[in-house]
Amino acid sequence: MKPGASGRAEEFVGNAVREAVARPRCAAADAYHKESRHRRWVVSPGETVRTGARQSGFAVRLFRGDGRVGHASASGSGPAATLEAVLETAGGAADRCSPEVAEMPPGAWEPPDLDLFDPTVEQVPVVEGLLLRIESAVLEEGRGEVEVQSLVAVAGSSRVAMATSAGFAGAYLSSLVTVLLALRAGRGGEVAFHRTVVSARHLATMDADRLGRGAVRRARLALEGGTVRPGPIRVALEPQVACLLLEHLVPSLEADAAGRGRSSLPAAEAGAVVASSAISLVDDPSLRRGVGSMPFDGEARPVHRRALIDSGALGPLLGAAVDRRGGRVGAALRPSYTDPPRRGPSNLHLARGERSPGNLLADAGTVLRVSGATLLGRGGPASGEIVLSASGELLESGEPAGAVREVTLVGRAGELLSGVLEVGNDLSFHLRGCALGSPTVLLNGMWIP
Amino acid sequence: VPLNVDRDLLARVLRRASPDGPHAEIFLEHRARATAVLVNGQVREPSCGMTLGAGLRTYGPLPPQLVHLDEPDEETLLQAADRLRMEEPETAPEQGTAPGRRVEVEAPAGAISLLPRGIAAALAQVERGVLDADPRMVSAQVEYEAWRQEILVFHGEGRLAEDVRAAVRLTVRASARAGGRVEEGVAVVGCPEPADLFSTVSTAEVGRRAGESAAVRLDARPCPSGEMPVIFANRCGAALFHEALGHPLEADFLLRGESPYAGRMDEPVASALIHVVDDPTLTDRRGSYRVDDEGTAAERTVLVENGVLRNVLTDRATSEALGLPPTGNGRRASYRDAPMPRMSNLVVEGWKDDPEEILRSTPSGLYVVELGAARVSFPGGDFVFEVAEGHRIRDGKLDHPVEGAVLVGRGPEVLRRIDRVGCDFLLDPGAGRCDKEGQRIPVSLGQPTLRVARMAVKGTAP
Repeated sequence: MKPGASGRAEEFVGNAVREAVARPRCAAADAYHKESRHRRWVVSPGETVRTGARQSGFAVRLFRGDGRVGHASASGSGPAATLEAVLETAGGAADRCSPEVAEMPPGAWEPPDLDLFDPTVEQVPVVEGLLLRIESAVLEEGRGEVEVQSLVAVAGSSRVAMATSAGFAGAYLSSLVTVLLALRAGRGGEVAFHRTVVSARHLATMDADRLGRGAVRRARLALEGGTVRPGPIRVALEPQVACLLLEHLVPSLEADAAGRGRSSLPAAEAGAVVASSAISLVDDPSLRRGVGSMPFDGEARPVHRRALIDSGALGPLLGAAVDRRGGRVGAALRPSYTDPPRRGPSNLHLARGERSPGNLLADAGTVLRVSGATLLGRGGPASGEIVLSASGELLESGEPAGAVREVTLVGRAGELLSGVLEVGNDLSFHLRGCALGSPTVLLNGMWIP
Repeated sequence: VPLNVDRDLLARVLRRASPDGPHAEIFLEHRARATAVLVNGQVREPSCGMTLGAGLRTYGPLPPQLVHLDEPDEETLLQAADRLRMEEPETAPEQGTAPGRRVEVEAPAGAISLLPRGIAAALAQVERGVLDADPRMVSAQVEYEAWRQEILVFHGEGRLAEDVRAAVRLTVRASARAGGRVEEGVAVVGCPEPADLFSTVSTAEVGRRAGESAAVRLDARPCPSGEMPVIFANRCGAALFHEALGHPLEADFLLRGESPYAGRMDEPVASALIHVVDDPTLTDRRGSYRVDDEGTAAERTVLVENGVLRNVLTDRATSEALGLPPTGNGRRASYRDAPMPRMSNLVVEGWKDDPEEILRSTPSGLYVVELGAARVSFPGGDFVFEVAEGHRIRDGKLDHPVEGAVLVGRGPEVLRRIDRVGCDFLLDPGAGRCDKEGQRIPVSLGQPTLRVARMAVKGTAP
């Protein structure tokens, strides 16, 4: 048995595939099983609520010879009657699919070990120790002005097993801890709230002190902030804010959508210059310990690092069947066993730059450093319109020149990509559906209305 | 009876969880779901899913704890009850291995019934509606989702409640291009059953609406900034009220001191023209139910009457904490989640003004057809709303569409400035949903045409 694999789950998916291909008109099949268990702590003043859960479920895809495919899933992995019902349903779904849309599942290959499992994530005292250290950091840095409103931690592991009728069989175990820290800052009659969310595969990579103190700093800014005059403004987006822009950009990076005009990029052809040369945008599902990493994708295909934008020039987009060297590209995600595989990024990130944010900002003149924001703009990926409701502080040559609260920032994705002046070396990842990563980004092209 | 469950087993489980009193509850849920996406005329990878699960909870004098189980059977339910009794919910039991004794479900039909055989033709008709809407259309994507949920709530004191809910949602995304500019329009529509979607809704019409929305955005020009009258068309679907009034009136926000309406019961909080009701008893709306997810009977709750705050929305825990009767608003996204106070169908009632006359009597300002994303800060209630579709008003008429407009204000102040309320009340097309603390639930919203006499608009026009 492979490390971390559940023999029972591997046996189950293998059996499901065999049962599927024994059915009439089934040309091929794959089966996916996911089991996860996690603990959750909700710490609020005077009370800690703990919950725990295990979840499991499976899905089968049944392929017809004419390129139709149907997906069906069920919770658990128990009675044979459930598998029979799922196979019957998958067949019915395949009959409702258009022909020639499916690609047959891959054969056997050996997935790599990406070091995605940390056993300490499942140890209660270790996680509770982390929470205590975060609370202590807030208490110390907050000095009675900023306090923990709630501290939520979810820690656990999941086990994925897949098999295809062409011979692939693989499984992997991964851990994940996510901490949501909500702070309340108060002074006089003024009150402000701030939330920070961080995730990691390995507990050792989560710095409790930095998390707590950084969140207190942002909460204070939200409390103290004033306004800024309307007009164009140079901004420095802290990593978690820059990730909001990446999130907005994700649909534009999908080959299928871009081909249909649903892209805010100025061009969709490989090689076209779509961004400043400071921008290299990478998706790397094979990142060791990566929050969005996976040894194989949701269709059991091998995964590779890909540069979607390389020094400003567009590369092969997500979902392109082959990369520049003609290799097969796996980019199918299954957020849950209930979802059919869909194209999407895993660890999408801006490659880090050379300089620290401090050095970068010291040379940047007057800058609005944005430390908290909400992405408004439901206009969709095609419009490229970005509206941020943001807070942060003004900097003059890197020195604080006044906090800013609830300012509206407007821009267009294409102009912002071209307007990037430099990126810092402080790359960090944030889970927003997929794992998005960015260093601090200094850019022109935003506007305060 | 949607779920054929051994009631004696449920009673035994709850006695095990809370032997000293009836302070435990079990929530059973069976859900079937189907999805399909049409792109470039092709239906890609249609999908069906079935889930069966249970959420066990202790409350009252016991520490609040929750355990949830997939595919529960007798063994795992009893083990989960032990964990609750021992206050060790974080060690939920392993999936049962023995077949049999599983909670039996009598689903009326399999999930495949949610995916009608004619789905490809119906979705293609929607796509045609998009492409016919305007010569500048370049593509369409049509997303179909249908689900049916059967729930059972059983309390330690022996009270049992059941409900069946179902909904279909069609989301149409249209892309239009002119020169180098690409814009997207979105239209959504919903109904309770798949058969209703293709018999009572004009699919081509939904497609056309999405296409027209994209075309309008192509013609949009930057919006000026300033304080001005803002008219909210009835199609806005009460989104402003949902964010600026509905959420702050959910009792957990009030208890945490995050609501601008805390301590303001029976005080004016909006214009005297405003009546707001939360009503889960409306027939066949997305936010409708017979009982909430704690088994409390659904009821119509008047939140604001003639501008005066009358009620807040509670689940069982918050009603006890506030000493108020429960309003039947304890909702959860699934058996995996804890219930919390949520809106159902939020209705801003109509008044008597002619919507055409409201526009004619507004010399200049902004006419908002659809609101986009929002950010609301508590406890002040400061909000920022993106205008997804809007038009300038000049001389009492609609002028060009605008882009990049954002509405900024403070909820309680803006609601007091409403000076006109139309007679054209409209419920949303049945596709609303609401996210709170990671839980997404279906809701409905409705409003008539409304005018705010003066509010701050931020735009990108020089």
